[in-house]
Amino acid sequence: MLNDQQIEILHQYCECKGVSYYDVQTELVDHLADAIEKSQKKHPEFSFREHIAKVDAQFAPNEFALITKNKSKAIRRKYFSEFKEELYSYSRPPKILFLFFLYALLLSLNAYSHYFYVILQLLPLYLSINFMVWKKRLKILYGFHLFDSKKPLLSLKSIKWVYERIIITSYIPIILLSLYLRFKEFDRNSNFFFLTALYPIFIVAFISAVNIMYRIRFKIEKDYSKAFN
Amino acid sequence: MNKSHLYKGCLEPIIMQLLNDNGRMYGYEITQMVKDLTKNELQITEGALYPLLHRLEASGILEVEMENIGNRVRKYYSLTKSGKKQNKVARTEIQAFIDTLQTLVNPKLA
Repeated sequence: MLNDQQIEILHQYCECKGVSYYDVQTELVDHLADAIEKSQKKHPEFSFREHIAKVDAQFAPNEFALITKNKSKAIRRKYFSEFKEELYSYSRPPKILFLFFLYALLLSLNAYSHYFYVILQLLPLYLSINFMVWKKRLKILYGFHLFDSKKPLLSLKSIKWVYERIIITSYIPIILLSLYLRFKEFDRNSNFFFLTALYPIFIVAFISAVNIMYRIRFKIEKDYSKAFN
Repeated sequence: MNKSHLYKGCLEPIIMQLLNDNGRMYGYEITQMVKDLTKNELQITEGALYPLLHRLEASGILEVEMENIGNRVRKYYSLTKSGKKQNKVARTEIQAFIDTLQTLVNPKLA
């Protein structure tokens, strides 16, 4: 069994090969350690460095970079499909009841308050100004502080990438539509129809993104606790 | 003659079958088992194995379990429920593929 120092050397070896992510490194380090341990049994006279050189010769020059690149693609796809699965769950019972509740809430608020429609139109504008002015506060509000870790993690970077895209994609149409409706005069009820049709979908997309992000984030922390301590 | 390229399209069913037979396995264990079972005929490179494992994991065919082995972390792969179903389909497909090859290469035996 390799000692702590030798494992650390293997992590550095991966780093030299262009693998800076701790989660990619751990799998490769285990692989290399197994190969070295096997080689040590066969040739006990060799030094640790010689065993590394022997194992290294079995790898193609760009093999490590290729593994990282493909892993990145695969986990992004995995996180997107988990998000889609979560989003679709709102079209089936029991979560569909939540969607109905949101529609009912917006419709009743619109019926009782004349200002509600205006607030609804201006809300995305207010939130986008927030994004620009209070970045730090919103970083915590939207959970972006959860993507900080002591060692770089490809899985964490990927879930952040996916999360940002979902938030932005669900945000932009709402802002554009709100602005369009703000300056283009329609009758109040048809305008409200557009907004009520979109707002609950935006809210559900946002909740799904946050749900998935938290679930994946804490699984990553559980699996790679050393990267956070 | 290096025959590895002949197995290229078959890696996925090979790995799925190994995981089906052995429950859970880690990367290095898979490479060694393939090497032993095929008597060094097929040697899966790390550059082929890990991207495939990650892709299968992303497709929901494989699930992952992390375990601390002494001073390092080991990643075990196993088939999910849908992975087991997928494996049955893959086995049927590969059998059909072998039969077709047999017909082409040795028509007398087919």
